[in-house]
Amino acid sequence: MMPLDLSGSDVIRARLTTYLEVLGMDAAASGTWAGRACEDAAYGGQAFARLQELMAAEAPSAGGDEAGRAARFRLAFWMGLSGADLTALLEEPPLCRQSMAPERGR
Amino acid sequence: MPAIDGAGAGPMTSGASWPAFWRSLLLAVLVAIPSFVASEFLLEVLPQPGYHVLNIALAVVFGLLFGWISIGLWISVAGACVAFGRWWRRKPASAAVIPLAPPPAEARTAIVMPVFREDPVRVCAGLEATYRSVAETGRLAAFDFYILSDSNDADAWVEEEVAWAALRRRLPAQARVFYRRRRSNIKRKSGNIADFCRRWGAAYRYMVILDADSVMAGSTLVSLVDAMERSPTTGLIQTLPAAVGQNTLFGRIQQFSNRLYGPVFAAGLEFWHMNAGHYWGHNAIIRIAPFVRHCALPRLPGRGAFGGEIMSHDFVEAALLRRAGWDVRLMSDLPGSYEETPPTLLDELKRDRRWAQGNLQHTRLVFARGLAIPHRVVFLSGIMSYMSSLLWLLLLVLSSVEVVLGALIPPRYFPHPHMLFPVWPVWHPHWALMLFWFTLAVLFVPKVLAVLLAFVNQRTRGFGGAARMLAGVVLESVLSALLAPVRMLFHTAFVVSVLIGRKTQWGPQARGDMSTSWRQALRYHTGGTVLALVWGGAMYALNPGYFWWLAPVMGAWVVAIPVSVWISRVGPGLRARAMGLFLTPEEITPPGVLRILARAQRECASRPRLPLRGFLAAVVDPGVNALHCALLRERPAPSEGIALARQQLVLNALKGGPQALGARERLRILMDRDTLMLLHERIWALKGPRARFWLGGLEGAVPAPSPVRIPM
Repeated sequence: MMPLDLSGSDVIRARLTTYLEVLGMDAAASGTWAGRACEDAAYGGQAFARLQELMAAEAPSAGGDEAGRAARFRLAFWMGLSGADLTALLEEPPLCRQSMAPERGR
Repeated sequence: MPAIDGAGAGPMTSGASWPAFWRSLLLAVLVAIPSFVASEFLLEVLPQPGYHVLNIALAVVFGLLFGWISIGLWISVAGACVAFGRWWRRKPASAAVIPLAPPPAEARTAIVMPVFREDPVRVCAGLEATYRSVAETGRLAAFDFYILSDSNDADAWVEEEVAWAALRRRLPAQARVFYRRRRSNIKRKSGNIADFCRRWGAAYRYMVILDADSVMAGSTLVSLVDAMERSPTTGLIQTLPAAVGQNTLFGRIQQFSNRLYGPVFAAGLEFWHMNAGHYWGHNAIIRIAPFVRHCALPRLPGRGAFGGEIMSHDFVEAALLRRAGWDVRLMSDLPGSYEETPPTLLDELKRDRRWAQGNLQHTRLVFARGLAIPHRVVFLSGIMSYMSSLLWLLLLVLSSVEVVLGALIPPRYFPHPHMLFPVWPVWHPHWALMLFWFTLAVLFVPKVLAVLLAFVNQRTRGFGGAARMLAGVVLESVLSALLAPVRMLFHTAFVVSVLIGRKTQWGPQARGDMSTSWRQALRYHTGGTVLALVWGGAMYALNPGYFWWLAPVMGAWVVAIPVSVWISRVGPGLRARAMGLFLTPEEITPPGVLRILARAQRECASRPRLPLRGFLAAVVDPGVNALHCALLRERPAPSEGIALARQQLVLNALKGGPQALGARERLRILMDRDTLMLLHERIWALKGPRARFWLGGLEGAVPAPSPVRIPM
């Protein structure tokens, strides 16, 4: 994907900052996050992969793969939820499967 | 005739079959005898003694139609008696039943709202109002809420999720309001409900089905649960939803007539049907265990409009419950149940197109084994709701044929050989007028009874006072007379299209303040207008006297285009409201749950919108993307082929942008978490014009710093 990716640290940093601002971060926080994600990144893909790592590390709940944890971090941040509230949001009622009567006609 | 499995299965838990039988028999007698007499009378009125077959056909069609309108009369008469009796005895409404101690913990209730490409903001506002109203009763812990989506459109899916997340954010964190979307919407709404029952039904004793525009008061829901707990033989209780929230003139008139005439008619239905009552598919509570056991719907064999999935499933489910011995009751006097009606005539007709097919499909079930007689009557009534239009048109055609023959063929004064005296074609206009006025009386007595009851029950204030209520009744009657022939023409077309095997598509229902454009009105009503001019002109040329009998119908077709446009507009509706016309009790004194709904809708409208919407938001917006990914279920690692296909899909999306993706490809991306995450990350790392394909919508949309951007 590298030929399609952004290159140049300033350009990458600007894109990351936009991304984080769209997520709802203020300028100071997005600058800090973007700076950390841009370290040693030559291409946009590398920077966003690094950002995902950073977000996964800050995820409000453990478990799942890195992409899933990063998504949970983004969701919690976007909605302003604590870890417990996020768990409550994503809680599903337990399945208790049963079948209906045979569904056929003749 | 298809057989439905489970006939006779389950315990016969309730009696009252014989009283229902006798009432059905009485209704049949009350309808059949006057219809026969009216038909005989028509034969006397007809002027051409020589057209025996034609006259008999006219009398039969007229008799069927007279019987059909008589059913409405007798239902209303019974309803008026019931309602008057309640008032006389000062019997409290069903809502005021003595409250039970809170039901046991296992008597949990699921409030389920199946949706199909509806406005998710309105859906969530309605559910929020219901939730908060239940919370006010102190029994919230016994209720869970489900949005059951069948939306097969990528944008609708994502918008539903965003609206649900915003709803959850507005409610307490522990609120048990769940969102579930089916991957495949097999069997449509009935399949959606069945899917819920299979997954989660065992966790609940009851479910309350809501439509996308339904709202129910917490006290009503609690009363329904208490009524079910008190009556263990009851399988289903249907409430009478009051129409609310209309602003177009058409919608407001429908709402007014629903609120004024509806309760009397519903009380009549309750009287005649007893424990084999109606189920209208929403605003009803259902005991889940018997529903699961007895209400799995068959797929009807055969092709065309009569085969396949049962479209109007609600009537059938009620019939199956009753057949298994469970009571199906209509609780017509329980307040706190609300719905919206189509805002325009054309929207109502689009809905009727689906209902026509669904009801005509019931011809295959009328004689199914073991059904209660009242439910067979329900099926027949549904069929006649649309077949009556065909019969009405047939009546007009036959009478016109008689006029044409009378004009073109000289009368036969000696229709039989060896006659000494001629038979003169005698026309008795005063007899015809008498029959006409009698028919009108049958049509209008139900309205008169409802108005009288409004006076007796002192409900006139709810309709703006006696004078305004009466003015509303007169205007509504004029408009009904104008619209009835238009509806008849459309319904006839629907019936014919069903009979020739054309199936209807399943589309979302129009709600809210929609208006009919002149283009739409011309498209749908021009045929009727041309037919009226040709038919009416020919009749005027042949027999001007007969023309005036046709004039109300032909005139309605001629003015259908401007009338359809005008009544679809909000302006005339609001002006009527300002004048105090077509008011309803819910507008005079809004109940608490509707006040909560209005507040929720106002708040939703005032919140900032996200810069991107639908599919694009799920791919690009980091928050919406995270929400969508979090709601997708974990799936096992894909095979090599599938993984390669996904990579190809992502590459195509990056190369061509969102415009290059079809509806199916968009759904494929949304259904797979890994594909969506990969695309999300790649898009944000893209350079050049390809990035603009996706991120262009965000230009200038990066907001001022705000900790929480989701509209709440």
